[in-house]
Amino acid sequence: MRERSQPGLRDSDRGRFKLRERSQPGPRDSKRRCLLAAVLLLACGSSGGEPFSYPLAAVGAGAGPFPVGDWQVTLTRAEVAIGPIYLCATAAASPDLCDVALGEFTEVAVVDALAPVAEIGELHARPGEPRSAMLDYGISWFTTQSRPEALATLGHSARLTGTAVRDGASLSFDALVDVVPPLRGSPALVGVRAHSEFQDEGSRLELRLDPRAWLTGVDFDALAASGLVHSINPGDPAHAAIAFAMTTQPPSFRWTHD
Amino acid sequence: MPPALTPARRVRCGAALLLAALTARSAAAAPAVQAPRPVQQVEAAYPLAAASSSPQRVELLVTVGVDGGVGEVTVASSAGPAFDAAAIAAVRQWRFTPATQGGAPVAARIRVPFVFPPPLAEPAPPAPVPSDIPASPVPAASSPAPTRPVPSASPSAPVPAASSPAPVAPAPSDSPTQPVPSASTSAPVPTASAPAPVAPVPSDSSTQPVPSAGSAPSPGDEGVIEVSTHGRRPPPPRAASDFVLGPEVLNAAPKQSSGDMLTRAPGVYVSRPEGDAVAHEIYLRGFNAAHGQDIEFTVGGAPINQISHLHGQGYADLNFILPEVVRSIRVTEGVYDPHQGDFAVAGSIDFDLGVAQRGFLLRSTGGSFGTFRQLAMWAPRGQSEETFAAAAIRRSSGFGMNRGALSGTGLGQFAFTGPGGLAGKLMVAAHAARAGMAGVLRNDDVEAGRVGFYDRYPDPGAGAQSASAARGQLGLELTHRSETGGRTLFAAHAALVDFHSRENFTGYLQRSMVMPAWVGRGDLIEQQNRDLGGGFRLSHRTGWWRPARWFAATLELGSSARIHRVRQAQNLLQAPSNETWDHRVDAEILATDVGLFADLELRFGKYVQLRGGARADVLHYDIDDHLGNFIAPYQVASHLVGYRRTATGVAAGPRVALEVTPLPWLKTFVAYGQGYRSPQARQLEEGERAPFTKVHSVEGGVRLAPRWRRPVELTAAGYGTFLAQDLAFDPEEGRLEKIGPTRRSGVVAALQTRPWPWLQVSTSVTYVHAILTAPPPATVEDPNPAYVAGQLLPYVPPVVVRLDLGVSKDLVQLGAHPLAMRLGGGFNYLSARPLPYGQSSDPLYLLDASASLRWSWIELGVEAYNLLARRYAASVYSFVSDWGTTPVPSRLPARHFAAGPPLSVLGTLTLSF
Amino acid sequence: MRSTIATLLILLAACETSIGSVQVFIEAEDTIPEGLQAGSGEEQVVDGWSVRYDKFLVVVGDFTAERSDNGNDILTVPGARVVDLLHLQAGGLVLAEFSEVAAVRWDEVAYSLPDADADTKAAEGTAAADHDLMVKAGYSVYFEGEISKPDGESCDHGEPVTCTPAPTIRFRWGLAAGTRFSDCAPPSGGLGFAVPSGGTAQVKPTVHGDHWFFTTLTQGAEITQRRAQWIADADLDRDGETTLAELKQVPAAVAFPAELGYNLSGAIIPIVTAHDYVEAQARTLGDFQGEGECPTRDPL
Repeated sequence: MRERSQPGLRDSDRGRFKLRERSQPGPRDSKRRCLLAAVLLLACGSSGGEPFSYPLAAVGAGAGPFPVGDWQVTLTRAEVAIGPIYLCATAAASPDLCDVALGEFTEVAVVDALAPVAEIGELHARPGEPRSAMLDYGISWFTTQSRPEALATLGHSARLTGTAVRDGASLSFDALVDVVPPLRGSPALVGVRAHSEFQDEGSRLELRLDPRAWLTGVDFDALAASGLVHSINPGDPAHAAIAFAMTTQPPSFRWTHD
Repeated sequence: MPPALTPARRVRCGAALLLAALTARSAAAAPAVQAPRPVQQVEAAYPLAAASSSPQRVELLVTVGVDGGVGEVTVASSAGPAFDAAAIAAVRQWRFTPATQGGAPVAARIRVPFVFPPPLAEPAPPAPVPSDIPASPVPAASSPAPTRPVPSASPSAPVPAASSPAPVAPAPSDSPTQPVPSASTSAPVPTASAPAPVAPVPSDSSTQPVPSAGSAPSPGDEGVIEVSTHGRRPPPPRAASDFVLGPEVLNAAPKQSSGDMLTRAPGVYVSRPEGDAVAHEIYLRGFNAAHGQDIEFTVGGAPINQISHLHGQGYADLNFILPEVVRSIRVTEGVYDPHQGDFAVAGSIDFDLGVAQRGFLLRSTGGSFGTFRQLAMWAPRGQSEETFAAAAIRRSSGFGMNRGALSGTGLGQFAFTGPGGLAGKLMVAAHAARAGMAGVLRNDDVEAGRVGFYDRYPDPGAGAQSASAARGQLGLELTHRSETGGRTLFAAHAALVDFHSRENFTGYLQRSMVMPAWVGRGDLIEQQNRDLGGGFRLSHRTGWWRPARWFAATLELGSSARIHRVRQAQNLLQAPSNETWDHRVDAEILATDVGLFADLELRFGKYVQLRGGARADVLHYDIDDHLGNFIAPYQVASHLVGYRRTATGVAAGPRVALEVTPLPWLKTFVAYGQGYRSPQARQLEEGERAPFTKVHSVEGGVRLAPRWRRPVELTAAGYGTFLAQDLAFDPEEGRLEKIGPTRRSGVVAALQTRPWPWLQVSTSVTYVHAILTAPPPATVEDPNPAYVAGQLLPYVPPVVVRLDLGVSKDLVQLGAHPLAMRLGGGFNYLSARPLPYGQSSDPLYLLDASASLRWSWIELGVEAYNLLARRYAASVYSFVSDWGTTPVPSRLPARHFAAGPPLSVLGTLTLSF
Repeated sequence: MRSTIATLLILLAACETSIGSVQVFIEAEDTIPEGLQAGSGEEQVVDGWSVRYDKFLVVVGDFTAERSDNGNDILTVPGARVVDLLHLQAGGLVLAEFSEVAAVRWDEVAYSLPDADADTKAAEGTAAADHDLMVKAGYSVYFEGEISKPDGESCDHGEPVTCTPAPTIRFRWGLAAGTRFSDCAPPSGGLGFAVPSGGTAQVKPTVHGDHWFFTTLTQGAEITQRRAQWIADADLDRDGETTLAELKQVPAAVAFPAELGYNLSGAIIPIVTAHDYVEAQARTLGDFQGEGECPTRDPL
């Protein structure tokens, strides 16, 4: 919750800028430095914080079995394409409200969502307080493209392979999932909650992906009714369930700072 | 609840507002004027039809041009039409060697008395020298003859109460030790140039007839010549940083436009990042004034800044001012003069137009990048310097891609005098230009080699960038001087100015508002701004009131007004088919500014002067926003689109300057003033108050003009400027947006000297520390903008250094005329400019140089710009753009730049006759 | 020395503040009294249904306005009220008026649509019965109405699809979707509102009424489509009324397929059933000055 909107907490939060100032060099030091700079005819001070990078990692959910209705589902493979990602100062990240981002990851990484931790790369950022994010799952529709395109080597947003077991009946599935941006010039996921009080070189961002949650909407009973080996593709009801879950249950963003 | 503004608080506020400020005054100690000497005289024929039995005396004011010919002749003291006509007819045939000042010929007005003794009468005995002429040597005159007035020079006392605005400098032609006039009333000889503190000086005095200074004629057949320089005395400076750049400084280094000439002033840096049809981008003392948002530009007093211009507040296109007709530029840094009006935030710049060299002039310039310019100018001899006409056409292919330009300009001015102390000036100007634009490039694309430094993006959206400007302007100024020394001014001006540009800074970011399904069609922003406006200036300055010997005062009251009808539109275009795919702005604005000012000048003895007053402006806007309350397609229509609103506000504040002269060659100044800048009208809501930005300006400085053999003038000052709401250019919108309150403080030092008669040196160093004093205003995209206390304002160079050298020497005599050589150089240094996000640009070194040889009526020259052939960025920016040069678009701000011109060489051929 | 001058000058600046007054209204978007029309225009319901509301109650409270340049100044309208948006006076309901307000821009504006509780009062023009309904159930929003289409049908998603004729479908939905809306911005740009010197600023938190017909959860600009077929399909017992209980049984992934343009990212609660969708949309109803947005939405 944004503390500023609570009148009771307003006064303490009002000191936010003062806290930042205290971390700057003391007034006497900066005055001396300024004087020296003036003598040397150089600019004194800086025009705000410099851009920086910090690591981005994906955290998976683990490989154990989990229940979906009556079925016990085990994933043997969960490859998820994630990126590009933009961090925004507004709480409603969208192309309309996030023309200028606070941080971005302009690549697409294919992540093993079963592995505990995977380093994805570096997030380029500038000082500020990110409050939401917008991102794609490897398929983007940029303003200059006439149709969406998959950027990842995976060719799709995710590949989920596994088995579902119930009362001895075992069904295996191999799902190729596409989460397609519906609007040209907008990422597939907008307004994703992602808040950190600040970010700097010592920060680290972890994206927690839970592919298990994405499968909880799949109707395995209906799948089982038509066979034991399924290849789930766009157009199938199971695909719609997985893609919908990937949209409404995005990765969660968690920052740590040194 | 916030505390109400109680009456007690108001009184305290009022008291607190009386802060004194001292302004430094810049007094250019100009060399003395040497009077013209007659080389051919013709006697006047006695008009027998009007014969009289008493001596008749006619006094003529004769203008002697720089060529020694007789120009304007007016009658100062009449003896009847017959005698007047006879005297005029005679003097018109006289020839002189022209008056000189500092070695250069100047036009001068001299007083030539003709005495017609009655026919067959005895020659009148020489009249006694009047007692108010101090004992100064009277040079020997030629032998007197009955009807031949022999001009001789003798000093004549300036009557302290004389209302002469023009500098009066009787200078005996053969007394080289003529003392430079000092400021005291007891000085026997006022010089031509120094703004003598004792004489009231109108701020824009033009040529004025020299009223009789009470000098009596010398012995009846010896005339008395008072010499006054013809033309304008620079108005007395209000602050240490009030610089008048005269022709020798302006013309030392080469220039291509009048905007270039502004770099001679301390702390000014000028660039042209948007091509030749868009106004210059000007930096002054820590202000990025963009195209004029922080500087009040005037041409002969008529304002040039455009109110609520779509491309930038206070947009001032100086391209219609031909550099050859600029006689001097007054750069007032700071706001200390009640005459300064809207947009005077960093200061004011006034162009004074005049042509000293009379006759015809044809100049052809051509050279690098297919540049060709043809100028024709005529300045009729015998007429005032302020009467001239000039026209120029210029064409260029531009350096790099997409920068071709074509422009035409016509400019003329006519100065006249009327009976009873009336003088006037009529000015007309027209200008049209169109130029292509290469736009900006991302630094990372240039570094990666995806696009060349002087290229444009190969994209059709980048190739379609261009700008066009058109202007028609006229102005009239009438001044009247009364016998008591008062001066009344009436000036009116009107202009129709058109601007039309297409620029794409951001590539492919935008989405249509009208049809949101349309996106990625290219952010080619088309801006149109058509402004029909006019205004007037009225003022009256009283004569001097001297209740005591040590105290004198004068008061000026005045009013100025402007009313503009602005029609503006902004659309997004899809190149190359020119299809409009979005409407962003469609508005008509009626902007009115009525101002009232009072300027009081108090003199205490010879040491202290206090000048100041107050100014109040009422700003009024009537905005018809055709796209206001816009209904997006996905919204259910609940109303009709369109939002008309009005807003008014008052900007009022004091401006005070104090000058103390402890020693004759040392002046100290302290000044304080409040200025304002009118807002972008479309950003106002109905009834919104405070429709302007307030600035507080303070300065203290000294000016030294030691009386050495060679003229030297040194100025040093420290200043501070505080803004309540500053603006910066937002490339995504293509216009200025608010960035929050700012503070600028720094020092400036300037030196102007002529170590040898043939060398003119002018140099300056300006340092500024410009910071944002509060977080930038929150927006819906960024409700908590990051802010570090004392963070530097981006884009403003902290250190600006300028050096101008001019060499002018006669080499050898060829026939009847000397072969004269002129060399010139201008050097600019800008330190590394801070950019947003803790970055900084590279420092900038630029050198321009010129050389020319002149013989008689022909001059050949060469000019080199950016002689060091430096690859530099005329402007740097930091914003988000997507030109499709990377697989995934970035939404982080990146560095962009507009390239500055590389080395260019132009040859000039000038014919003057 | 510099700071002394600066302080002095800032004092001078402060001397010049003048005052005005502020009126805070509650406004209903036109879709509430007027409903929605079927059609192919971008602002119409594209699958042929028209919408009409018979009752629309919201709870509005805790309006605050602050200035980022002066943290000590705050305007508040504490407490919550039940407002009947179909029976507002012309021009909207005045929540509060403030006089002697500094004539500057107040850029931090926020308000809540909280769940009703025992302290919630009834605003003018709201019937006591409506107020009691909201307080008893702890709703933040309650609305009744119907969607109608001459050849409307309720369909299921089986193979093959079977449909039942349903020319009108009624709904009576109340939700405890308390949300605080902050960083409110008017449609013309900037943040908050500006108080004119000597004049009155009219500040209008606006409640929208059509968000459960959107195909997206709008963030900022409302670029979306309107569809109502899902309500007809959610009438599981085909009795002509879709109830909240029925909504809880409809999987959202089935009711809102991507082929019809649905993208429900950006919700502040997880969306599993159609009921979650309605609640998530109910948490986006708070807007400002008509079509301006309050993009920061925090659940209460």
